[in-house]
Amino acid sequence: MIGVLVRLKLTLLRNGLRRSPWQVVGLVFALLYGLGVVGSGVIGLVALRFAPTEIIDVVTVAVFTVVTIGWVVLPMFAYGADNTVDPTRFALYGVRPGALLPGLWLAGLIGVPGAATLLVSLALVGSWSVGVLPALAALLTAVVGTALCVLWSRTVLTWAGAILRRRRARDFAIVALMLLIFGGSLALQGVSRIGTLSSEVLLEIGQRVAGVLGWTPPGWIWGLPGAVARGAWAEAGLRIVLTAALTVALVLAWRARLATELTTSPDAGEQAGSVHSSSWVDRLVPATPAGAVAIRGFRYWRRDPRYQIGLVSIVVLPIFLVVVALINDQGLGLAAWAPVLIAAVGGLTIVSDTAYDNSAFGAHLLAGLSGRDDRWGRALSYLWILSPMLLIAAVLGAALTGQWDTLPAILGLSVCLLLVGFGAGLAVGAYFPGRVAAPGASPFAGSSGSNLQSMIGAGLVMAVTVGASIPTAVLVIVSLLGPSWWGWIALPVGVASGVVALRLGVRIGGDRIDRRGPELLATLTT
Amino acid sequence: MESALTLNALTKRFGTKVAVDQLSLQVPAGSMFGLVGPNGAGKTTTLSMATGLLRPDAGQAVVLGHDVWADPPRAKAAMGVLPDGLRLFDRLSGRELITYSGRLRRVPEEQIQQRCAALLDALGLTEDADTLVVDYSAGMTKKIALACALVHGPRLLVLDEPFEAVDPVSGDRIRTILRNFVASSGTVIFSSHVMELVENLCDRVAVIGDGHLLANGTLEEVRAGASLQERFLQLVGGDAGSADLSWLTGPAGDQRSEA
Repeated sequence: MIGVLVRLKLTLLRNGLRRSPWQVVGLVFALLYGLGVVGSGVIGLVALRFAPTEIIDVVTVAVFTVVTIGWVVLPMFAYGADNTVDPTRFALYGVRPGALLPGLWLAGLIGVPGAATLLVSLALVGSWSVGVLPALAALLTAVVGTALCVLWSRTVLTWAGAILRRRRARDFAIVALMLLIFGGSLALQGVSRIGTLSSEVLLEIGQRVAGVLGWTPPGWIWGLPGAVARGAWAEAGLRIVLTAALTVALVLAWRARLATELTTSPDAGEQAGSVHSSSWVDRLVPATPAGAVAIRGFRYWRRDPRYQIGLVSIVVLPIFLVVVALINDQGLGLAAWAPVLIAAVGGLTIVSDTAYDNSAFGAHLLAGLSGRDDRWGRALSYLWILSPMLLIAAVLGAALTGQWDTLPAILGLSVCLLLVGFGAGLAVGAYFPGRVAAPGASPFAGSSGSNLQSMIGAGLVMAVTVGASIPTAVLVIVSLLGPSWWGWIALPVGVASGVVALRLGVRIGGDRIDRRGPELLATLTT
Repeated sequence: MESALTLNALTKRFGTKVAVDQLSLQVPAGSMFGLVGPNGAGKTTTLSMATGLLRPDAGQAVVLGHDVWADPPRAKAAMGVLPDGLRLFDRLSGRELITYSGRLRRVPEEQIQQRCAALLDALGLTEDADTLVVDYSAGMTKKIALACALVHGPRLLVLDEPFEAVDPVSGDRIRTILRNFVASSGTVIFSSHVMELVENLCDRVAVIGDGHLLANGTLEEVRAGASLQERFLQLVGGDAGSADLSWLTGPAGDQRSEA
């Protein structure tokens, strides 16, 4: 049974690579990245041996407890990526849960994360090579700790499986992950400020944190070498006993849940919620085919996780940058320019809007929808979502920084960048829609492996946006360097250039779709 | 007899493989036309070329007098299509999807709401009208796609595997809708694997194999006395294979397990 499951995991990995050459590229990048992380981790850990014992203890306990928690939390967001994780797939084979456990555990270990964790944790032997006993304890810790990482991951994932199978939970998890990433980046920014604190304070904080982490269940094993190095044999013994009990508990919990999952169908029916069909937003657009495309866009912004992530990013990015500037004591001056950032992102987002439709774009072709209507509809939905954000950001920025005199110039530049970006994106998107995550898949999957088409498209959009915004930008610079009433000229110039560029972009993109619609559909479907 | 759909020497090559080779056929107006063939015969490719989804390398497709590739708007306005293998906009509810389809085709708003309710009722989807299509079963997805093809009142229906994954009750509803459609002088062409279904419903049949037209005519002409299934297997060369499956029906089952 173990051999069967291991072979299954290896075959799945190999077949995943066969599906497209980009997967191999993605794997190579993952391996290189993994090697980089492992390499720096190993070097860092071995270098630690020259540090005092308390510091080795603090650092290794903290780092590896977080790694263990990562093994539990991160796979939840990639649910569905690894088939050996979903026990319901084995439901029809009549295997006893106990027989599956070792094989599933080993299958979880095989792969880039498992290998990386094992390698880095073996470097602990280097960290603790100050004495024979600590080094041996470190060896034991590395092996048992890695084994426990996989065990933790499998057990928790099996228990969470029932929730994660529901589409709504997965949709929510995706947005939650995005917010987590932003929060994490902010936290890292905050942490970098810690470098300014004195080393004694640092050590004390570190010891407290490591102390707490070291006594949480994931941390019990990682504190072992430190206890041995300090000669605290009672503590070492306690940690060993606790870890053994933990292992038994996890295995029992996993087996118990597995028994239930093995008698559950993977497509068990879920409560599908119902939705409101009409909304006040629909009245913002004309009752034409283009308006219908815009209304569909509104629904997708609200309901599709891939769009929700885009929305969250656009909203959070300026806030994020402002907070970073605040943390680094750079003052709020830049906050007034946040709308320019929002506007710049707009064009880049709309380029791949057609790609999000995937093969459903065929419905537009079958209905005989004119290319220009398709482009206008998408422009309308983006306009109605992003313009209010832009205006609010501009007003808020001016209010927070008190720089009301630059408001017209900022608005002029932002509106120009937004509209030109849309025009460029709609035109270029009809030629190079790029590749994004498929409907229903995790939004993060779409960016695996570089995509030449996406890069060309993005490059073209940026070039055109910058080029067409030059008149407005010049006026803005003049208003900054000279009398600020130039800003009042920049505003109408910006709006005008934007409108012209948008109409031109819709025309170019629409005509392309009318001429080569079926070919575009073929690109979107592969 | 006026032709609702005329295909003239349609050809499509994918690399070196010829998927459809000089295919010509005529679907008379007011007929129920069945297109049958094994997997990979070129049915979906042919229908995609006829409906404007796939550009033919050569040949013409004419719908009710309008060339699909020379005059797409008029040709597409007259057709309702149920494609195979295309996703739907599944983050919309069933009702929203039908409405979207109607609006894209410029059906007046009051008519859309009326027709939407009628179609949902006829297909038994009223309860699930406000559920997202992504949560639909395979059969419900087929039915909602069919409703989208009907909402603008076309004269020609081009359906690719309309009965696939559809339960018997829903299948019966769809059959009734199609029969009534043809009775009121509409035309239907659909592709299917299930010979009994085609025999039951259609008055004209065409058999495709390997991108070529193997037989074309009324049901009686193609059947030539045998059942459609037998005639079909003769035409495409059915081969049951000679693998040894005796272990499957051994006296006490074969006890050699492969754990």
